[in-house]
Amino acid sequence: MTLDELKSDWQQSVAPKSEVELQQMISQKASSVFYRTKLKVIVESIALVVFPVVFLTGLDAERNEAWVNFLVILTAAVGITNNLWLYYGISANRLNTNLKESLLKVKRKLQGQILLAVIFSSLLNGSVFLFFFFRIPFTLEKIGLLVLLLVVGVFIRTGAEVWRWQKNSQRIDQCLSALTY
Amino acid sequence: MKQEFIHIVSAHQNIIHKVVRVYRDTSEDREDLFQEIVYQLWKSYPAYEGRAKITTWMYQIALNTAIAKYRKKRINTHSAESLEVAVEKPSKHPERERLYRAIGTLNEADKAVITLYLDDYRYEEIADMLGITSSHVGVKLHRIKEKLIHLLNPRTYDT
Repeated sequence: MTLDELKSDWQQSVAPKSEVELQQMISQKASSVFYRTKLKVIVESIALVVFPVVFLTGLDAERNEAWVNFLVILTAAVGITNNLWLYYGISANRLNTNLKESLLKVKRKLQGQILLAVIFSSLLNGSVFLFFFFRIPFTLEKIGLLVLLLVVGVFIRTGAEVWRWQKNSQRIDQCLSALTY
Repeated sequence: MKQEFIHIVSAHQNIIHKVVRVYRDTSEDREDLFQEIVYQLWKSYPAYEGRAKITTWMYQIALNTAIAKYRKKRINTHSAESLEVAVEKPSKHPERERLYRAIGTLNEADKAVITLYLDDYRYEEIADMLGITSSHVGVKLHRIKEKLIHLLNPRTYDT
């Protein structure tokens, strides 16, 4: 059997979707990937708004230096930006360029997402750490240990983020290399 | 505009079905990807200027979405060595089933090349859609054909 003989098989139709089904698909809510992402963005954004409110109004924030409190607000802002960017990336991504160009764009976006997630994680760990421990007079050893914990926390988060996107990133790299002569 | 779009997608939905069938293994994943492609088409429709054929435009968005979009799970039960086991399973369209299985063993870029080739696109059109040269398409197709023929006719190929 040759591939040309298979062309007729290839053209055979499958069970078609009705126009009503198609209409439902173009609303974001019906599309599961968009719905899940939207839900994630909403839930996390609410948590990130509540986070500085709780910290700044209920946990003796007035006894902290102003910059420590500002760091908490900055953390929430970066987290919300991160989520909104993720949502924008998935909902407004127009893929009407050629495949190679699209994949390069996706790759850059993926790298940006990993970087932003790492920045957010560092800020979150750092701001919470400073908020609670800034006023406590620790010994140098204890400060060293806490800083070490902070760094390890950021490394774990970075590793998790890279691991999470690694497969997709590898798949894109493989496809790009297959498209390079 | 919405109604016009629905008519177009409905008339050419076979393109989406083929891409989804080639790039996803489970029915759940296929349904997700189908929805995603239709949504991406809808988002891109206002920017469609009619310079390319509507089917070419649909293929481009569908392939880009299938390859570029993140997916959580991927269960690959195909063997790249032989498709003999698959033939033994009863199917309404055994030849088509074998073809899809064979294509499923290719890498993402090669899947796109063969999908377009089987739909009678010219080398230049395939090259434009993928962002490569026509000669590269030729080289790729030659290799893909050899691999697929080997997978589809293992005994003939060996002798």
